[in-house]
Amino acid sequence: MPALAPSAEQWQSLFTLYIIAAVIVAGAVFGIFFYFLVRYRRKPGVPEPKDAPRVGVMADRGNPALAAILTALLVALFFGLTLNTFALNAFLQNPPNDPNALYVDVIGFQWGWRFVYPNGHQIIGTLKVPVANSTCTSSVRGCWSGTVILNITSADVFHSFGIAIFKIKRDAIPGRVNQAWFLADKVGIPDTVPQYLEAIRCYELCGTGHALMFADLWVLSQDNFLSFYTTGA
Amino acid sequence: MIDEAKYAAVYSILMLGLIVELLIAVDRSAFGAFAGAAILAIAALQAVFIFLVYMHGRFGPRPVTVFAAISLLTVLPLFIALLYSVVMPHHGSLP
Amino acid sequence: MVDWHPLKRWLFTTNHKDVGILYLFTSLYFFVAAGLLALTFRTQLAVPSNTFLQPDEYNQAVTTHGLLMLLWVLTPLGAAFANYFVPIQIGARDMAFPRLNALSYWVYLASGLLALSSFFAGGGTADWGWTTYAPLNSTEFSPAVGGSMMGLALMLLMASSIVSTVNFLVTIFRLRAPGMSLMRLPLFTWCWIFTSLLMLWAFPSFVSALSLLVADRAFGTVFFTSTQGGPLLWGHMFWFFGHPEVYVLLLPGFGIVGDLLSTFSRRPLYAKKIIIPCLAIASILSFTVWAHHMFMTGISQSLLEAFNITTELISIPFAIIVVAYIFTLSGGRIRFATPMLFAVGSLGLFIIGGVTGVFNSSVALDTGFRGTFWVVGHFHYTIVGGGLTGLFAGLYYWFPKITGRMYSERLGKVHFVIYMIGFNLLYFPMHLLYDMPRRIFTYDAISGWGPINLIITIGAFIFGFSQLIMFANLLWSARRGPEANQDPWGGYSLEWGVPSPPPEFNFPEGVPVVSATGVTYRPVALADGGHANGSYGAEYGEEHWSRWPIVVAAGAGIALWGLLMGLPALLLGTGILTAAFVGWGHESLRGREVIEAIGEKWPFDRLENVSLGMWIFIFGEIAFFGTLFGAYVFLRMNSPLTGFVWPRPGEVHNIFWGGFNTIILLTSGLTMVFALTFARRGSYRGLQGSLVATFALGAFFMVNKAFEWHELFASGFTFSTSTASGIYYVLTGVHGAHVIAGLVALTYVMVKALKASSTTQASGAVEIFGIYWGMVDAVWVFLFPLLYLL
Repeated sequence: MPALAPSAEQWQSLFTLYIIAAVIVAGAVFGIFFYFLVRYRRKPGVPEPKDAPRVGVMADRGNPALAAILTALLVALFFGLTLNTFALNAFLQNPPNDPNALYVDVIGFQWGWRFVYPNGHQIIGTLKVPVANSTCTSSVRGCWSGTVILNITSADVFHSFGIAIFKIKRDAIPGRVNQAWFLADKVGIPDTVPQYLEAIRCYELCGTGHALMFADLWVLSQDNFLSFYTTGA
Repeated sequence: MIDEAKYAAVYSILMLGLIVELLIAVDRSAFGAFAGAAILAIAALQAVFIFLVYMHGRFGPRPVTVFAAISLLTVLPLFIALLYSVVMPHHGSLP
Repeated sequence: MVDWHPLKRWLFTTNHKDVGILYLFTSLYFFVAAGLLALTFRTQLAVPSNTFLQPDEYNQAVTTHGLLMLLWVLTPLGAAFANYFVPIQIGARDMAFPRLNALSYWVYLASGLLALSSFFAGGGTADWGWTTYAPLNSTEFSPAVGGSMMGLALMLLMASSIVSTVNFLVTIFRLRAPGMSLMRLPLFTWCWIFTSLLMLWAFPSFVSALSLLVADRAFGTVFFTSTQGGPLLWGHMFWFFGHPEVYVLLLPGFGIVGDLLSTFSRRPLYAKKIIIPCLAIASILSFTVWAHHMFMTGISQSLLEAFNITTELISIPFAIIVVAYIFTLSGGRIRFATPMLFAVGSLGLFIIGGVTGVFNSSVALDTGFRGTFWVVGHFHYTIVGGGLTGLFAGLYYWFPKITGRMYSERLGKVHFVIYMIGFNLLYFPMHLLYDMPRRIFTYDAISGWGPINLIITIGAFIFGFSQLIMFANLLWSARRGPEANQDPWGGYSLEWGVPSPPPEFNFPEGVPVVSATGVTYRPVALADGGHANGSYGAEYGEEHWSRWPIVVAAGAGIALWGLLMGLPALLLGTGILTAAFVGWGHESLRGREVIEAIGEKWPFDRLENVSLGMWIFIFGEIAFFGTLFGAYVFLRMNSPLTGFVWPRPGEVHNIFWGGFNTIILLTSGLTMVFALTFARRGSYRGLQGSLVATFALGAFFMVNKAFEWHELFASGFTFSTSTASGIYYVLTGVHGAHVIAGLVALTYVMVKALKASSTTQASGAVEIFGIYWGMVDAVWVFLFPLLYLL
């Protein structure tokens, strides 16, 4: 299933990278582990090792170089992973400098999400945004590029705003405004794109209604979005 | 006798430090930006004296100084992070 | 054991082995309770749109499952083994402070009962998740008194832990047998050292966070509900404790795994000299990673990137230890008895948990994982897989030593197989649910999460019920199992060289003397001619019991319960507590001796047990006041950004009144050190006079403070005025409580000085108290300028 947003696509790539690293490392470790368990199991006729522990005695053993080698390997691995993480982080954290972006204020409350548009329109429970529009570049005016910049806060307790299908998340903290952004690639509403149903959820326990604190996503074409924006319908 | 003299000397240092702190606090303008730092430095010095002399006891606290160093090492990142996180970017205004 | 009536034995024992058994049963009891809670919410989540639990019931179940498991099960289970075996493994006769040891247990039990009673406090118990985020934790959003009661239960538990920590550290550093150098200690004891050090610094931070929360809930301060403090203040303070806490949970089981891998493969531990420094590095690093729990809070990205890096770095020492563990097997002759199966299983599960941890270190991937079941899967693999499974391995391993009988190997193996199947069915699928939020009481079918949740729930029941096999096996075998020989496994730690179960003072043949070739025993001429079953060394009397620890715990529990539920209980509890302290003081004055060091003491050769204990306690206090000061700094620096203007010096507080009080307190410090010099020089009058002067000055300080507070209240500067007022009252209030506690202790010292036959006899107590009093002064020396002058 193709990703529904560049953020999801890039997140998926990074995740895959980490999975590959994890499988290789865990595979190697478990490989040696199981090999030793099988190879060195107790067999009749094989005597006890000479340095077997007995009460009060534990001989020294081992090559200290192990620590240095492992450290070097892991630092190298982490270097690679971290560079990629920081790159994705820069992408996710910094909204593009886009004059045609849509700013939406997001207010989490017990228990729902309220969205406030620049012209004052408010909806609870549904976030309607324009789809990504590559023709609407920064030199053009009077259109929406599809970049949605969210100013997220809470009206009461600590919530967390997340759009799992886009891999976007930001805590909604009372007294603070946190920013997140995304670009939605595919036009649709919950009826046509099932993933848009309850696409927005709360990810921090916020009371008895935490499970019910979701919102739908509507990704509209330029015209439909314009009509919604002007009429509120 | 020597012990009493040592403790009395430390006491005078503590009192002196206290007086200097009060003077700085009363007349902050003369010290400008350094007032706060100066006061905290004096307080730190006082604590060091209390720690090393009053709490010294019969046996030197060499190993416990190690404890102190480690505990500073761990509490210090908290301070730094708390300070740093205070400088937080605010976006937009509260609706 | 001495021939005692069972009631007297179990209620009043101070023998470390008995205390260990008490911890074992109580922690397993809480394990069953918390496990049943888990089964209730797993039932609720088994199918979409379920109505088995109401939302608030679900939230309470999830919260208390977490709190009970982390704080009342895992560490106390580790403490059970630590109590029983650490003194034996180091070659000692008992803990350094046996009565304090019993006290730790009874206070732990009291705190657990207080926690459980919060369910019935009307309105239910805490329902805000074990992480207790602000402002959900405030009375505005969670008014139920049960929540506050849980907070008090936690603080009581912290008191128990801190006392226990001091006890263990003094014991391990000072009471080792001759030849038992630190490097020779088994890995379990080493891990317990690091666990204790972590608890020493992390738990006081939790106490300071809880203090601010209790102040908000009970006294109306506004730390976590105002914009100046708020959720980020809680986040930092809680997670500063919360991250080291997970290593507190992991290390005891992890250490057992190391010893077991070595014992059952019949080979020495690989690179023990690397493992120990790795544990030390990991412990220190554990205090530098906490903000990976705050990746989505919107704080500075460069700060969070730094935490990303530190979090990755901490996996390096653990990776080295894991590889060293695996290499331990090489060249061995592995025997797959039940303890070994659990040790191997634990290591495997921990590796998986550790690997998913690296994913969680990524600040970018966290946009997917934060607040989802991926995180739940990760921490259950590490804590239950690494921690609990290792502890169960220890339970099987030490069972023959504790009971003298062998459990059924077949049942043990059956348990292992079902345990591993259940564990992985339960926790592995959670990694697939990285879109599903945590702590939701239900979900609808359309989300598609139904089938996986059903599998998880089935796994939960299999996992939960598998433990019954172990309980049945062990309970039956304890009575009817075949007799086990002294060393069924070929272990290397000292407990395998003594009978099963060990006699009252552990080593029937005398002082163990350890060398490179093994252990010998040096018979010691018995000072009082008694204790044929194995005492050696100093004059430890037959008072291996005391009635005061349980009474103190009862008083504390009742008083705290009464603090929220009614004055009669509060008065009753306080009365019992006072009587218990007086009784304890009398008992101490009657000449109970402290067990003295006779072997290895490095690096504390010249510090006596009680002195060392006091110093260790002081460092816990540094962590406690340090985090409170940290909160002050945060509030102070954050205020301008929220539009709140912090009071200028002199605007609210009278600088000279504060200065005068400072002189009073510092002078009491001088009189205290004079008391010590008089005691050493044999001047009876000088000693008495100085002690009385100290008391008078300390009392005057408090009276002055009471007047000051009264004036401030009258002028409108109350608890709830602002965070500036709140932090003033909390800091001076907590400091004042320390002064009052000091005055109470000083009373004991004065009585002791009065009754002592010579002043040098009293000088020990005077010196110890002087150290504490010095700390009280040192804290004030910072408090005064921060609150009055800056």
